[in-house]
Amino acid sequence: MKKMVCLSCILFLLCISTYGQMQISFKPIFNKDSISVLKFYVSNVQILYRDGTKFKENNSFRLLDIEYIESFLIILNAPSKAIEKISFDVGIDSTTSVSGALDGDLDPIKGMYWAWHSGYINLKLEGKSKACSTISNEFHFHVGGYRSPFYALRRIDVPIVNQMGSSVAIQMNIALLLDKINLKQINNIMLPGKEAMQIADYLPQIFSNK
Amino acid sequence: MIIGVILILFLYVFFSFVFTEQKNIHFHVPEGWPKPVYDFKQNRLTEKGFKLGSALFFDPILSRDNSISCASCHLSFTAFTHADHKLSHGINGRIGTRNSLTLINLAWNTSFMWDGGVNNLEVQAINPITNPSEMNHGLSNAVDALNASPRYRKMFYSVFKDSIITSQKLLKALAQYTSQLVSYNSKYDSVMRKEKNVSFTQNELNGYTLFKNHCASCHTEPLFTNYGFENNGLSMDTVLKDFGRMMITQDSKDAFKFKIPTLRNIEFSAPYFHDGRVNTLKDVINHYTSGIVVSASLSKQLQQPIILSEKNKKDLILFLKTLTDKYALYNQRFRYNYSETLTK
Ligand code: HEC
Ligand code: HEC
Repeated sequence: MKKMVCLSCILFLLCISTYGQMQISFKPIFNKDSISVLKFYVSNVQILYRDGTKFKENNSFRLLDIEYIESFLIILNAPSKAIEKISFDVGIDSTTSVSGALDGDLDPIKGMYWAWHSGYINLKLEGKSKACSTISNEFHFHVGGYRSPFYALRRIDVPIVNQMGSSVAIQMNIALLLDKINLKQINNIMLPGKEAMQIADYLPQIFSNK
Repeated sequence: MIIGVILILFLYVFFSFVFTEQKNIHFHVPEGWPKPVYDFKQNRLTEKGFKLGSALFFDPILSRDNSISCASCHLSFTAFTHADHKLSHGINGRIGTRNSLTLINLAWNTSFMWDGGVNNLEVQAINPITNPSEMNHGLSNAVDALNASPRYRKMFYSVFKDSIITSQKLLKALAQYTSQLVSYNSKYDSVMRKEKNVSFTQNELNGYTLFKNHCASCHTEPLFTNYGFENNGLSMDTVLKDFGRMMITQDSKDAFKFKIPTLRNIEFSAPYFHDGRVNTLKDVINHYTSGIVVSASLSKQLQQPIILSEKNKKDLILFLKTLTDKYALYNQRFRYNYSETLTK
């Protein structure tokens, strides 16, 4: 009995020593274009440590919304050790997309759900830019889609070079994204399709850790 | 000490089981039918859940000005469709762009709506609640309205053991009701089950043979649809310009294709077709024999004209009427007020 108690104590201590917390903060980078809406899903976060171990969060979906800037700080119950790489999906996978009514950040009330052609909007980006040929210079990008051939989820890998103890900052370069999009021609996306795929394809390039 | 912990855990599990467990309803799958598509594991059917869903279905609380309910467009005695209105009316008399669909055997549907744009029964209901031409009510407003109602808070609590109503609970409750609107007790079903004293008449039998030859490739037994999307040769409505399936897949090959609807209770679900353009089964048959409009996406099966004599047309209709299920149409369980029998 005594041995068992000892063993449990050791196990417990082991747990709290390695299972600290990791904080990942997303830092959007803008230029002169004004952004009125920036909302996107970060799901299935995975951390690869320099010692070769991994931390994985399955079936976790987080809605990051610039209106609630605190949502840009993600806290994970992951060991605080030197990190090699952080990976995550921007968007909602197809299995989750067909799973009926969901709760929490996946609640359709969050305004990231298309009702008449079911599916989540992975990323909403709206604002104004002089480059837009629209009357009010506005652009509206609702990027999503889970049906092939327009599956808009993208896996993002961010090599980590700059870590401050248990926190890591990931830059999200919205300015670069808007530069890449030809705003003159593409300034309104409301449906899954080719244009949404194009924007999704840019996403892996805009996240970095410097 | 460990034994103590185990004991406490055991007691906890045991009691939470005893207290939260409600009698589950078994969802009956008739012999020879495919497995339902709807995942009942994520929404265990209970009598209280069904009654709550039924109360919501008939309650205009889900519409902004409390004027219409689901049942306004889906009435049970008209096979849960909107009789007499070609295009379902919504709030303020605004007209939707499509004919209401029959709500029957929905647990087998692989997709919802005429274009199949909706992928799960639960999320279908977001559409009428948020679509401006239907209930004109944001989903969150609907949830707020329910949370403000002591009656509903009590009902939701008794079903979900949680007094805060969320959109998920609202949608699951509605699905408890809609998934149980089943039909498998028509004359056709009795004949197939070889029940005593039931058989097709000579005319119905002839109709059945014609049906198998000309219609069953799409309206496949026993659900009378294969859940595919086809262009059955209707001319495009120049006002509504409804491209059907193409709006979902963005593929021009899918232009003017629509979901193959079930034909169960078809006798009572007039008007017919996605825009409700015809009123009688005779007109439907005439469409297939002499109204087919050829276009790029027209189904292979309908490229060659279907030729039917007047007698054969009548027999085919007589067969279609054997799909009428009085038990489903007049089932008290499906009716308004059923929820009134809800016990606390
Ligand atoms: C204003 C009329 C109207 C109201 C109110 C309405 N519906 Fe419908 N319903 C329709 C129409 C029209 C369609 C077909 C829509 C389409 O294909 O785009 C439909 C389709 C459906 C379908 C899909 C059936 C299938 O086989 O694909 C379901 C399920 C459904 N409605 C349930 C409901 C529920 C639940 C409510 C209440 C929350 C409701 N409806 C309220 C008119 C209505
Ligand atoms: C190639 C596939 C196909 C074949 C074959 C076919 N149908 Fe259909 N049927 C459809 C489709 C698709 C619709 C929905 C069309 C629309 O509204 O746009 C439909 C609609 C109907 C409807 C109206 C249902 C409703 O709820 O509005 C009836 C009735 C019907 N078919 C009967 C028949 C009969 C009888 C035959 C045989 C003579 C037949 N169909 C052959 C594909 C088919």
